[in-house]
Amino acid sequence: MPIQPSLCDRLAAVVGREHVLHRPVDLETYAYDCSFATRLQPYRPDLVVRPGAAAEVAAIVALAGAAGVPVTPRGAGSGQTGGAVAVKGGIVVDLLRLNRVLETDLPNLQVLIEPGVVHRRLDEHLAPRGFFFPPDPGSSQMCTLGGMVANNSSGMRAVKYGTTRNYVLGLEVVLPDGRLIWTGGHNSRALKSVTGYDLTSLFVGSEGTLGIITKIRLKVLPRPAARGVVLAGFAALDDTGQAVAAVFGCGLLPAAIEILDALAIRGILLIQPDAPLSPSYAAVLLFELDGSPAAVAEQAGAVARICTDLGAEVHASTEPTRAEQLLAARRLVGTAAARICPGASRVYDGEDISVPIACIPAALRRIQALAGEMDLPVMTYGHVGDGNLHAAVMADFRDQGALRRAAALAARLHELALELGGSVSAEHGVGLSRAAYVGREHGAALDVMRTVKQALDPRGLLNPGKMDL
Amino acid sequence: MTAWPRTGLPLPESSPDRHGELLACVRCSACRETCPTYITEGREAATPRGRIALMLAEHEGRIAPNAALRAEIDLCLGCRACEAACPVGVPYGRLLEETRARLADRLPRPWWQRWLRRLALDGLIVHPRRLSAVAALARLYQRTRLARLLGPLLPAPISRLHALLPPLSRPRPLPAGAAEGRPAAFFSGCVAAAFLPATNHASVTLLQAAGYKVDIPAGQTCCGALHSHSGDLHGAARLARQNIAAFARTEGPIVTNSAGCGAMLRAYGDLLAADPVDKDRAAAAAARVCDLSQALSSADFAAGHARQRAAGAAPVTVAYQDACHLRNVQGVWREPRRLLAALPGHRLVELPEPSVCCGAAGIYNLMHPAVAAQLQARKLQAALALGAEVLVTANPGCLLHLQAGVRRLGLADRLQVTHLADYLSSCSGRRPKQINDPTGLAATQSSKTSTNSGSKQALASPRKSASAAADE
Repeated sequence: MPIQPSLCDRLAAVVGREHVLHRPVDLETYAYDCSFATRLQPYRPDLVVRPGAAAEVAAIVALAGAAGVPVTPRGAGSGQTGGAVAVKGGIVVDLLRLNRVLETDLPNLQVLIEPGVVHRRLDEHLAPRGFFFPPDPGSSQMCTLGGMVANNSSGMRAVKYGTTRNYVLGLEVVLPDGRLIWTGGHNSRALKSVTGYDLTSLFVGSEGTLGIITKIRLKVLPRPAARGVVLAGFAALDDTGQAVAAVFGCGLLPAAIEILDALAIRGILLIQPDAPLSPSYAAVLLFELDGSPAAVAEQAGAVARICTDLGAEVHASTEPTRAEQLLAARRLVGTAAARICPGASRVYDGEDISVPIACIPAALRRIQALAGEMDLPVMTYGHVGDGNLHAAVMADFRDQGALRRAAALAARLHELALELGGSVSAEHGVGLSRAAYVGREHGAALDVMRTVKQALDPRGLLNPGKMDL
Repeated sequence: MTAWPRTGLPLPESSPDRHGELLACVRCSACRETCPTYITEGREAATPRGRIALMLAEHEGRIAPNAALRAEIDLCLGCRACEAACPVGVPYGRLLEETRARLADRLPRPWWQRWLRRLALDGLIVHPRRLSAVAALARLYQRTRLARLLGPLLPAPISRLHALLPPLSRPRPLPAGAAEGRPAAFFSGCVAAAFLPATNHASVTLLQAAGYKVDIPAGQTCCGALHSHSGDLHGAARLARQNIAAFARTEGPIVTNSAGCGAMLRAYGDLLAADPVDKDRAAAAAARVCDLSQALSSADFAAGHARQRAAGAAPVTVAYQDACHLRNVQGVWREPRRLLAALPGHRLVELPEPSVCCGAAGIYNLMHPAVAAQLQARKLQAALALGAEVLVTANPGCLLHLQAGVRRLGLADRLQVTHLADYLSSCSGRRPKQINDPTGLAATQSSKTSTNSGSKQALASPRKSASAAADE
């Protein structure tokens, strides 16, 4: 739907003319995120508006609503599902200017921030004060907290610390009709509250389909004094499953337990050539332990013993710089997948399945079989401690046959997750890429989701075309 | 039609797999926060990911090669901080220059702009004598009342260019080489040779003091960086061949005091990779290139040559500003810091955002003064906030730009901006050039000043001596 010039003028009056983008060279750069779907088919919005305050967001949504124009909120555009792309046209609301930390209330274990704050910036803000926000996505240096809340994303440390949802105390949200509300109590700094429906949880993970988040009250935790890493290389895949079970069985709760398959090990070695890994391993487990230096040393020792007993080659590091280097290489391995296969690029689809922890070795074998069947390289790594596997499919984007096989492979990966009693997305979201699977995963519950959507956004103007709503 | 004269060389217009390299970007946006134009503009099109998306869209025919596209591509400073941040290793700098070359072909600039560029790039900077003549005119202009009379009449880009110039000093021959020592060849550059003769002089003197036998081969010319950055890859290749021939007669490292020149010289192998005759010679020459700070570090220069300061004198707080083409492109950032940290009586402070450009970026500051001025002010304010009294850089472009910023913002009495060579030279205790230089011409400006105050005396204020040098 073409945007009327009068609407442009009114929006310009709200945010300033320089923050209303309409030239093709600007619109082209908001037509994508990381997803395979928008790589195959970019969706140019009709207009991009860049508000600098919550009230401006409310005014934009109200004006767009009056004109019947769809609105799609966007943070860093580092998502992998097309969630922040205007697939039905209309206005993209770029929230990167809303990037302030508004309150740092550490005695009450909380901060109040705007949605455009980048995860790493928040960490840099909290670290010197001795605190941290535990969820740690691999995209820490680019993703925004608004995007994390909207997709309920997490990261490696979800094993011990859970997901973003566990840390959101309250949200300021612009509703589809332009109203501004607070969830979790409009004046509340409570860490615990059971009053009313849990609207905060409703908006966490709603992917911009119910409202636009304009402020976030986040719980933060004291930063552990020490961190350690144990790397264990296994010759047999099934032993990794036993190791994870044995670690939990001994009463140990590592912050993270990561698994890397043989191709991912090669990827890590490209980023961190001196990492103590051998390309001959079938898989590597990476344990992150945190706490007091003594506790870290004790846990690292226990984990190392369990893995050694199972025949693994073990390398433990409690030296902070070294541990951070190994974790950084792990964080970057997904993005660097393309380095492993020159000429190919990473396909972000089917990339975020989760399965019951006990099914991980079986799932890894099935993924490798599918990769062979489709004749595409697939690197798999993930958060074995919570059953989340990232399968990185690589394809030459100029090879139409490879693209078709990649799409088919992604579909098979999603089927696999459902077959094993898992989920098609553990932390990246549904967006455009996985809309077709919400009904399969949720059954009749999808109808309830549609009822909620209908109640809040009867005209379907907020981030339309997502989540099969 | 082409905007640039074709030389008939077998230079590919674009890399064999340009489309593949554009598609290699996975759009993760790890580059976004390192990008200076994202900091000033905030729009996605002003980020590396956005520009790659635009290059791809143009390559695939989804957007036209029009003036709006070129404006976005031209907005990039070419600092290549994004390359250092990219997990995939997308060769952004090469893609950028190829895109500029493509746009120059598909969308010729107006005749007068082409004429001006050719005059500047092919008619001026590659001719040392003409450049010296311009420097002499500029000096005359600075020293007479002409500036006040003509200033208001100059066209905007010329007056911006003029605002960039430091008070110019008289040209002087570079110090004669010592008979002995490890061989090294000095690349004198085009702009530095004409407008910063004292910096070149200091560089050669420092190399000699570090034990090098310095050869300054005749026949060398501009490195070609400005040609390459503006999309004239053929012009750059022509200059590369001339420099390769000139330096073929020398031995040892090819030393430069300019980050931009160093990055270009090191790229000669890539530039001529498609030329079966010259590619090996180009790669060999490129492999010899090193920055002045590397040459001095490897000679362990710092320890013995700096003068001790008086006991009890407050330490001088010095900050080092990374030149993008040194840090991001050549990976040289430890060496200059090591040299500065080794100076007695100095405290080296670390600027925030070390990989973010100061806004100079070749001739970017002339073409995009508003963005350049914002980045310049950011950098200077950051240095002041850390209490820095001296800001050292290792690139003539950054030097002139930051010095102009100090003048523009009235910070001259609080912050001295200087080239690493000039600063090390001003702190130098020995004056080894006397050995080789009976004429006395070899004394650098700054050490001349310190001679006045007595070289045995403690160096009370290095800022004073170097700013006096600049006024010379």
